[in-house]
Amino acid sequence: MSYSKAELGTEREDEVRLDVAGVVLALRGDGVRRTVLGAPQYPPFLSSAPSVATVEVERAEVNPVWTLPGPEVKLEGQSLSFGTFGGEAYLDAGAGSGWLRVAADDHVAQGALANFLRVAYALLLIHHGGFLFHSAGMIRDGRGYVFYGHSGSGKSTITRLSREQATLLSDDLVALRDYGGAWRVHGTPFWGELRDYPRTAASAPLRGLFSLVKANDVALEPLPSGLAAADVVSSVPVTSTEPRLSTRLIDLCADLVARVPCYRLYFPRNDSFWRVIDELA
Amino acid sequence: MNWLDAQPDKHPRTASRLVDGEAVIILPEEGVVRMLNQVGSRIWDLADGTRPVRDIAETIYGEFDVEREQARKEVVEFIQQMVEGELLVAEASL
Repeated sequence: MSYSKAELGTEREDEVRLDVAGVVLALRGDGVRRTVLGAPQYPPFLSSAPSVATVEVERAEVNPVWTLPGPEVKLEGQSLSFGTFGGEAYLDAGAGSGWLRVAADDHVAQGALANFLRVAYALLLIHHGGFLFHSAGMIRDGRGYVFYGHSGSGKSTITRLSREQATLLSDDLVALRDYGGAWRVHGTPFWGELRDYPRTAASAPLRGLFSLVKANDVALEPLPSGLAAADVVSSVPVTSTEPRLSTRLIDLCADLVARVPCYRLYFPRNDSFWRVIDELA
Repeated sequence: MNWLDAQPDKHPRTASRLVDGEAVIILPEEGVVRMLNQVGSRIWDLADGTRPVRDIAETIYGEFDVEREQARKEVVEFIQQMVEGELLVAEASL
């Protein structure tokens, strides 16, 4: 598949820009287009808008011996240091610059890039009035809904059940962003179990947050805002030793639950939950 | 140990916010989020490094249905627990 310069967002042969929830990140370096465009999840997120940060991507000539079993992230102030299988990175969200060193092998490099982008956007979004949120997200009749809960609570199940009913934004990580008091939910390239589902960068006004509980019957229970704020904060994939970043995050979450209704959703293994959600609209 | 004159404050490792009167506290290093009940949230709010525990207990006595001595005892216990858990900082005098 080939892409026009407009789709790629840049005249530069060695650059690709990605837009997640209006936050544009430029990736620059020899072969970066091959790495990014070789992965099916990114094309809907290509952008021509100005970037908030540029990351220089360097390919190792041989695969280095990076043996970390999973991403290791250290957040300090506005910056993050990151190590994963097949890559390591640094990003300063305040300065808008960073670097990423990835393995020579395309497949390994794509895995490292995917892990890096999750972490990078987790940080960048907080600096731009939003955050990544561990949840399934959908748009139905122009309204955005997110469904969250611990691993195994049913995020992928509820996404599967909604395939014919809604535009699916992710079964694992959506982006929530505040636009002057109006929160929107955005699709992301970051999916979990349903990694083969088509991606979309679509967004919609956020109309409800639902904490998932598997049950035999559908029921909806409003959540008090204190509990909802604690719930939401717990589902944000950022751990920082920097209190200012945590304070910013908690302020964003408190604002979100003050503006968007939060519920506990009891749901059986069918799509009948949409009936009660539609009644809220 | 005399805790009544101690002036508890939030531990610098915490980030917190009152949401609808309930304290939501993040412990970033541990990746933990805690919530306090109504009374605990009020004590958390009052623990700003300027008020002695005896004044905090007096406020709790004035605002909640509790005897003065019981309020003192429970506020001291709560603050001791929060200091042990590194959510608050305070030094008791001898």
